[in-house]
Amino acid sequence: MEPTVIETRGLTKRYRNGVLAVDSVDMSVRRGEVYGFLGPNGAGKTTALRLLVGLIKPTSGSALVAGHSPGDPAGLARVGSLVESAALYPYLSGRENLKVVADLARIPHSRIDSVLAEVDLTSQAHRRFGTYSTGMKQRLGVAAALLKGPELLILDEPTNGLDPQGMAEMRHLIRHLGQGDRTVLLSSHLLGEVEQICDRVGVISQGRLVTESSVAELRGEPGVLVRAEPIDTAQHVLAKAFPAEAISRIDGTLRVSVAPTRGAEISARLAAAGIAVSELRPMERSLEDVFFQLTGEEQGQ
Amino acid sequence: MIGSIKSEWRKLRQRPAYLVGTALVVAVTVLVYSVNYYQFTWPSAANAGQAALNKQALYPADFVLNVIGASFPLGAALAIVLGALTSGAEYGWGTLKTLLTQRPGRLTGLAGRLMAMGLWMGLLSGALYLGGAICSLVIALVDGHSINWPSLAVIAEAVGATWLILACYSLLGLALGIVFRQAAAAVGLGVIYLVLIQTILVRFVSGLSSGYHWLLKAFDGESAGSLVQSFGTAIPDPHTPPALMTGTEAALVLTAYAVALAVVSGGLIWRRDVT
Repeated sequence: MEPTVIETRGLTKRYRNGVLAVDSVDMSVRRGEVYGFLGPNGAGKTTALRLLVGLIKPTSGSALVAGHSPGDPAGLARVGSLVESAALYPYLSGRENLKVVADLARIPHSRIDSVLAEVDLTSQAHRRFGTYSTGMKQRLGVAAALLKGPELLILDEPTNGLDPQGMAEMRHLIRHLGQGDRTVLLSSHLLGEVEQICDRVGVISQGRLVTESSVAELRGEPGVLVRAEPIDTAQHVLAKAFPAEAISRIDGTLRVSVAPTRGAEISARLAAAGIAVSELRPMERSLEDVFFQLTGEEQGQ
Repeated sequence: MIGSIKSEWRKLRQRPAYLVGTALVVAVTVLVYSVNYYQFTWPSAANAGQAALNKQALYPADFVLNVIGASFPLGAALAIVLGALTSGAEYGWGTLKTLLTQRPGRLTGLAGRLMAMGLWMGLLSGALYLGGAICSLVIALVDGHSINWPSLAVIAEAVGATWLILACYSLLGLALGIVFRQAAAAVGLGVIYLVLIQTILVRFVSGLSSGYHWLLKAFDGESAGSLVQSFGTAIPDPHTPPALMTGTEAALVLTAYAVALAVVSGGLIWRRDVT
């Protein structure tokens, strides 16, 4: 069994109007992980996902999804997807919609009850899809994607349009779905969501994959920031207690690359040396900081 | 393929537009029978003689000739609408992407849809003739007239001819729905083509020298009209021009149209990005 479930090489999509939506993306999603596909609106996330499920054809480059070319029926049989929003028939009930999908995917109808239970929609399955709330529609979309018992689940911004309660439920569901051997590719522009759920992330900006690594790697090492006077003496005192390479000076402050829990020890040492400490706080980059740095977006925009 | 047909059939048989459309065509048949019966039973003094003759056409022996007239243009227009709704709504609802990300390939999915739609057109044709047969039977019983049915072969041929017309025009609607990626424009253009654009083109070609009149045989509307006329008419109308071609020729032209429209639809589904 291949160690990666998705592998792309130079995947590029340029639309007829000249817009370069996806630009030479080399992406690798490992089996069994929950992979966060991060990017601001319009970065190319949905286009990349459409390429992966074969809805659109690449201008150049290649991709292997579940061991097959995107759109290949053999590959599609192993992939469940929810691209953009749940798109089902408004005049059919939730259950009938799942029967339509099950027939297409050649899945026995007996599986429908279990996926309805998994997304907690059993009691609402008789209602027409058109009467569902946004959250229920998204959950039924996830149920449709789960029908095949897929080894790869591709979810494109599944919490879009949901209220806080619905978002929390969806996050819980995705975390549950990502347990075991199943691989989940979750696209989102909500950083907190990705930080909470994902093992690894890929960040896409203006069509290019700017980084791909684990959430911990992206955040970098934690540390403690110290603002003290006189700063030279403070650095000298701390250098006796910690390795020299763990201490750096940035913009008139000291950054000590140690666990933030050692803040009290740093404070005590400086106080004992008679150094006035005006600020001492843990330094931990959030995924948000990294994201804004990588995508060149400004916070608050 | 079986899975695709089952899936498409499940959607069609529960879709209000299909149910209402089928009921509408049957209702129109019943209405036409009822109005004709009233007019031929209680005619004005000037039309009394002709009315008695026309009334003979309402009895079971001629029901096929009455019903087949509903195939074109009324049935064809409805088929265009249903075909356009079938493909166009998938773009509007975004459900095309749901279908294309399931197991069957794009062409298998389309083939399943064509089969299911063809089955529904068969059901619609059957319902039309059943409705006509019941109307004619009721009229014969009310009038105490003898009940003589056409042969089964004639009924089967007529149902087949109606099915071919409906299938061909439903494919036109379906192809237009795919071309425009929506139902509204497809319905509009399809119906305008049927009732206006083609009429203008036929009039234009008819006005050319007789050397070009063979072109008329290439029009789907002329073919459908000829196919209907090939069964004869229950109530002769002196204003109706004679059929341009035989029933077999007409059926071949319509079949060619159906195949061409299926190929165009398949080509578009196969090549196009779904955004």
